[in-house]
Amino acid sequence: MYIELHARSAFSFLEGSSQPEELIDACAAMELPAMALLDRDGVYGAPRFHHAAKKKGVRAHIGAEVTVDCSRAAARYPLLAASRTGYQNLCRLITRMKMRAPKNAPPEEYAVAPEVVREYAHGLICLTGGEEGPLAAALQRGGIIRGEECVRELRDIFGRDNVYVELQRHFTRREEARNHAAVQIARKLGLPLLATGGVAYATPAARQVLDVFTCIRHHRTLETAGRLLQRNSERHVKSAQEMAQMFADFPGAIANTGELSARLQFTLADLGYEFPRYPAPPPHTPATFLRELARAGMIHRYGAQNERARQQVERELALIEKLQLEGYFLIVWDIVRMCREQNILVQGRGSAANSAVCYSLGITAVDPVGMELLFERFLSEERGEWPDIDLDLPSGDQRERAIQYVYERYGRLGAAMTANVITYRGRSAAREVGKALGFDGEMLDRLSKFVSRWEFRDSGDTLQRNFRDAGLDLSHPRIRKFFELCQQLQDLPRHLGQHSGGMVVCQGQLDSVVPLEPATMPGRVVIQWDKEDCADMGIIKVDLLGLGMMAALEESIQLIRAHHGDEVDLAHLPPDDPLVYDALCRADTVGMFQVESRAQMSCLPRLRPRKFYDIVVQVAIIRPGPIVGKMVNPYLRRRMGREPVDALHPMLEPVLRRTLGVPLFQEQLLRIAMIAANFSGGEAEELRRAMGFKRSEKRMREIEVRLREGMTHNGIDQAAQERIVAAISSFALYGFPESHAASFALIAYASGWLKCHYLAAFTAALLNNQPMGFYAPHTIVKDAQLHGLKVLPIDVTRSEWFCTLERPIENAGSHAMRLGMRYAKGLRETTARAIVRERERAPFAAIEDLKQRLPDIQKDELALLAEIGALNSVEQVFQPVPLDHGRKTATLHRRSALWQVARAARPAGPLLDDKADQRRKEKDGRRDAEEAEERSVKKEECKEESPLLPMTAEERLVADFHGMGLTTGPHPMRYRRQEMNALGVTPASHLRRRPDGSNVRIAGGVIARQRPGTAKGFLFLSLEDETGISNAIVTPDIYDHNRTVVVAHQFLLVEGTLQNLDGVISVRAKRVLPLEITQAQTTSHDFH
Amino acid sequence: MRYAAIYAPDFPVQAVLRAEPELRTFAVAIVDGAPPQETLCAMNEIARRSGVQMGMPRSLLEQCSSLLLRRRSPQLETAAHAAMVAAARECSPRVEETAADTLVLDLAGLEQLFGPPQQIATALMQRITKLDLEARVAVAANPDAAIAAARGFAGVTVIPCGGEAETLGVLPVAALAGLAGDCVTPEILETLGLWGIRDFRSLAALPTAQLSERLGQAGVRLQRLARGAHTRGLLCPDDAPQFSETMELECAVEELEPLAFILNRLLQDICTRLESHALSTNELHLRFTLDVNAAGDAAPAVRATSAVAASFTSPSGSSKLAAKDGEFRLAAAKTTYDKALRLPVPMRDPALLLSLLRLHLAAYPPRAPIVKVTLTAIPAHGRTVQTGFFTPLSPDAQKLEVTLARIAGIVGASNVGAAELLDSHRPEAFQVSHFAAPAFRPASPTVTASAAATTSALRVYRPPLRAAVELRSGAPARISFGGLRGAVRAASGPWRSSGNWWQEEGWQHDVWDIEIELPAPAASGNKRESVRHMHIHENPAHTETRNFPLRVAERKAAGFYRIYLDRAAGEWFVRGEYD
Repeated sequence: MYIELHARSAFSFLEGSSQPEELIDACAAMELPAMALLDRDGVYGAPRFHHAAKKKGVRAHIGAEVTVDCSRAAARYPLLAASRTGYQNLCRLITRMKMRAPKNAPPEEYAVAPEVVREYAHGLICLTGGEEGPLAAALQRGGIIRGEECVRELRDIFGRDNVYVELQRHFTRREEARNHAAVQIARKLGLPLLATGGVAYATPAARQVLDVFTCIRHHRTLETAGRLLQRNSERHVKSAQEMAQMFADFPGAIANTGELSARLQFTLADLGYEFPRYPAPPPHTPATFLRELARAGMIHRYGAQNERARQQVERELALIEKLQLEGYFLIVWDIVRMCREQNILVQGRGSAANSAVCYSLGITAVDPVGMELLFERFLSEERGEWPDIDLDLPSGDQRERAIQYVYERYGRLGAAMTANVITYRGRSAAREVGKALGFDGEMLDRLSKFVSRWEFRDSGDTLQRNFRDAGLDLSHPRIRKFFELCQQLQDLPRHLGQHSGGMVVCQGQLDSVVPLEPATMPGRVVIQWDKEDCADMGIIKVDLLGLGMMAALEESIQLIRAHHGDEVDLAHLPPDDPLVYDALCRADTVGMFQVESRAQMSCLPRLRPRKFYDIVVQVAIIRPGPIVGKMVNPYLRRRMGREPVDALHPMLEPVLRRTLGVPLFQEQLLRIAMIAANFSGGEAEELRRAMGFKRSEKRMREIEVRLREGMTHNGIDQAAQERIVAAISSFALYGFPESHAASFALIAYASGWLKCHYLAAFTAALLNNQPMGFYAPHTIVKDAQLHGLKVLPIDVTRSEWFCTLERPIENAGSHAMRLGMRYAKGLRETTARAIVRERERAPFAAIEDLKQRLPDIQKDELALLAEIGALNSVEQVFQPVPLDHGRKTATLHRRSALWQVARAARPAGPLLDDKADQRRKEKDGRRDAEEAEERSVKKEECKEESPLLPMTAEERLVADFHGMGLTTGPHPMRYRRQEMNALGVTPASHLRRRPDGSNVRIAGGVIARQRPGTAKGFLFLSLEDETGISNAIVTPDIYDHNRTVVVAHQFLLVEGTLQNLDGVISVRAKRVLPLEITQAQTTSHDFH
Repeated sequence: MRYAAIYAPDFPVQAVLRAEPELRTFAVAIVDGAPPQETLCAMNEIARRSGVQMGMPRSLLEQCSSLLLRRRSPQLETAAHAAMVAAARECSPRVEETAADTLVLDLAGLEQLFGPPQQIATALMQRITKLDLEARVAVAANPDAAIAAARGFAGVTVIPCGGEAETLGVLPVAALAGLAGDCVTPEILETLGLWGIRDFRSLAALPTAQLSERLGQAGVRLQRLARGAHTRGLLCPDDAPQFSETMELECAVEELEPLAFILNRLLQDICTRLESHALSTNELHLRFTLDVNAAGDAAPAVRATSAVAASFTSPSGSSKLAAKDGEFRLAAAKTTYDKALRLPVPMRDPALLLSLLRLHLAAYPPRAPIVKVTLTAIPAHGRTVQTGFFTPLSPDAQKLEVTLARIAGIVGASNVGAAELLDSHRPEAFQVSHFAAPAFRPASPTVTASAAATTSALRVYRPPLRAAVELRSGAPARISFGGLRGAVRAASGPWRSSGNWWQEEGWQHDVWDIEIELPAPAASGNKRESVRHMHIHENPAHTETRNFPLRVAERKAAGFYRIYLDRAAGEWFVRGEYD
């Protein structure tokens, strides 16, 4: 019997080229009963290895190659976890090693000393390693004498029984020489030999990928990598027979693999993870403390007399106590409490909103009792899984404060972020492989451009086609190889990132469960497993998610407080504000949370929300589940009274009443199973999961049998059973939890209310928290302007770094929004803040003055500010003399500023620089009056006529989009409206008046292109003109014929048939033509 | 002072169309770059109208069925350029070769001969047209104004004196890039763009002092160019010292000796001039004009079947067009013999240089009698060397070069030099690089110790010997090669290597070290006779033989060989023999 005890996967990041599952597959194919995964300095791939092995009936041993400093050279100790203690020691050892140096430090910086290894040696078995192992390093350094010393040291560290002298054979002379020495040393020291494969990939073919990885790692090409590449393709998984034949001269080395495997008792099933117990204040236990908090909260939320709520809370508390989850709820409550104390907006989302306890504790904001939400969706006894509570926090600093609080509360080694394994995808794979093959950057850029970003991929939208579109001939052998390698690289791990919000905490030390490492972001620690791995391993996590809209809401409130003097409490907004619902019915929702996308907008006029629950439905209905399950149109028809409301069965009428007989939410699915087939809550949740993403045919069949049995028992006829089963199976895949939709709907309503009542503040907050949402800033600005907001341009004498509110003199009634300097692309924040600081000290007399007072401002920054007109208000720029027309104008203009900037930014030379410096020094000691006098003199001195012509409207547009990505001036289409009229183009706002079915032409700048996976290849275009947004639908064949025009041009004219039904307006394209409107580089939000 | 500029637009296309005139009515695009990364670098007007754009990859261009693709041809461009130069020289002795597609002529004094500038420009245009090239000609008061006008305006443009600013005013600012490449940085162009300066006129109108404050002297220069007021002299090759001699021969020379006599004379003159300039040369260019008609088999008979072909024959006679099956193509026959001799160190000893030229000519003799000889030396500063007191004398570099040239004459240039190991797992991976005397280094004790530890060396057969091998249990059991046949007494291996899988010439080798029983003495003699390959000693440091399990002490009773199986071809070879 042979067991492969030294294998590494692609989770050794660029040093292995097979997924853990592929290793297990190869192992199973070779009929090896067990295998050990020893990735480099980590157990990154261990959960996937463990689960794959479990499925295939293979035993998965866990270990790692740990980098150790051996006489100032790094060697890798292959360590296997024999017991849970051994595994915990391994994790701690790796954590200690990783935390020594910053992320991505070279091995020699983070390698640990052998003395440190000694501290964590208990429970670990050490092999002497292959070419990177300690024995090879010692032999290289000092021959067999040093080799023997090295093995002796290992024996001292790990104990006589825990060191195996490793033999590997990859048909190389150097390795064979090492083997001879290893055998001698093993015999002399009485240590057992162990044959291993030193596996780095599952099959010989994967060696090519490893060579490419080597090139990526060393920044070489395959041509220049030389002997860094693999010598041969022998590091694949081999059968017991092959290994026995290869080690026929050392049969003991093969036999020992079986014996050692038997000694390795640890598997990941024995992880020993324990969620921390919350330190309840005496005399409370966590259970009593939670009970007290929940009851108090329940009374606060529902009042003392609400019996239904009381019963629900009691029922939930009983289950929580039974499952011993009090600690978890208290920890989440603690985070929420801290956020409230610190004035950080926080709201639970996801299935937690089904829990009355969560609502009572203030974790969630949706009333599950009032909305009759199903608790079992959140937590059930049968499921045996941890509940999942996600908290939405304002993105940015506020969220970081919450994260840092968790670290402080549970210690740096008790809490960490979950990882996010970044894998090679189409573009990254093409780029890296292309570089390795020595292709030039221009060609790789071209290829990257063509690799599809659409969600929908038609059968022809393959990597093969991307190659052809990029002009790469697949019949050429090198291009063919390029293509093949790109495919092989897909989904292989590239590096470890940080999950956006998942945090795990642990009772005791988290570093004994999984190794921790520093994240790129200072103050963050990340574990080696991703979110899925954590869930699979039963590690509980709290998601602290940054939500841009939460930050925007919070900032809106602050701006309203500062500029309007009003105090807005999101928890107590007027519940049924007609302005909000009117806007929703008009699909006037740009900037509103969750209801602003083109698809949402096309549904809103039909759904016509008039109460909060309508928004909940609206948020949930434009999702893949209802769309794929064909639920959308029946619901809308029934809502408009065009179709009778019909529940699947009379029994289900109470469940489906609110959604007019159409199942839209996961909770409804669960309730259907519970009512129709007498499933318990847990069984129903099991049903949902069985039919969810990871659906298993076998499990589905089993559950369906039970479902039908239950329905038959309840007297549901066969036809109704079929309808119910069909509804469940088509919907379960993508269903959306009602609780989650309700949480989002609250935010959506709040955003709508703020937009309707405090447009200036809301727009400023939206712009200050970009990127977020569906639309680019220029569309948000244009929409706000259409709603009457005056948007003021960037001005160095007025603008802050962020967008702010101003009350213009000429328009005293309402606030205007001043664009912040953060929208000047290329202007550093430090420069912007220095400008603000200096102008507060004294106004700028001239650009020259600004330059002198801001010595760190760069030439490009000054030019940028001039280009976008931000210097127009600096007093000195006001006397342009046109070049050739002889007429004078007193209008301020950007070119005058550019003319001044060119002189001010030019180095004056050492002599004059010294003078300026001296002036500055002198100035520091003078009084303000003297300074003012000096500025006045300077202003006169600097008066110099600019010979440049003012920018034309087109030039200003180009400058605005180049410098800010938006314009506060008229929309580009407004300048061309006459031409558009001549072409018979209908403005967006006039489409509503045209009859359904008429032929129309629409034109505008593309603000969104979408090809959703659920739309069967249809492409949706949103075109913006000066009157609003129009939508076009491009069929797959029209798209195919106009692919370049549709994708590459920013301004389009679409000719087609108008669809104007129920207030939903779109044009079904027959022709798509490019338009030359402006040279300005506008942007669009593409490819969702 | 008047200057005329000639500009041939879309020059790479025009060069190709000269050779294939029947394509003029088609959309033709020229691609450049190494396959598979060829991209569009030039196109004719018809192609431009078809919508293709510069930089498009070849495979995309191939999808345009109406487009004819040709690879860029430096030879054709050189020929077209030479033809333009020759035509220009017929008008003026002073011609600046500004770029491959642009020439500038000094017209000073030509009015007496050819008439007013308009007439000269028209004549120039006609001459270029006769070369089958489409050109634009402009005359102006200074070279740069003439160039700008030629590039900017079609046909013939004659700018009246003082009218440069007015005429050039409409040209776009980007056109300055072709006139003052070093001054026109992307930054300056961007600044001008921001200022709204789009044409020469706007730039010319800016106040010079204020422009200087903002763009420095580069800006002032650009403004002078835009005003058509930038004056400079022509950069004619004649202005630089020339170390070139030409001799036309009354009788064609066929023998090396009389040729050497002529070369010696030319070299004496050149070396004397080099010495007077305190220079040496590191490169000699030799050009013979050959009498192809005298050598019946030296060149294929060339028949110029059209006026186009006849006019294409340049005065230097570097190439001709041949007609075959109605299709024009560049003739393979050459009427000139060109050789460049690169020297490792600059030298100016005529005797030494003559020796080198003789050896070179002996190795690569011209294929026809010579009627004209041109010898050009590229000047370089001489070498100064300070020898060390304890440094052993290395071979004189100049003599060494002569010796190497002699050896190259015998074995071929590619077979002389120093073997240089390549960074590769591929066995025997090396390249031959130019041999240079090694720099003196004191002996290293480490190297000595390592050399002393070496117990065996491998004599490598190049090329390897083909062998027939019988296997038993996967290991070689019997082998026959080069007349030897024997049983394998011991075998160690396989040592497996493979690589270059991304190329067609990938390799997969299984190497074995074997001990075979030596054949009878007579057979041994046969073996030595049959194995006529160059043996070289491998550097022991690279052979990895120190751990070889076979003991060298046994070699008297046995032969030790390194053999390998080429797994891709399925064939066995013997790579070498252990000493």
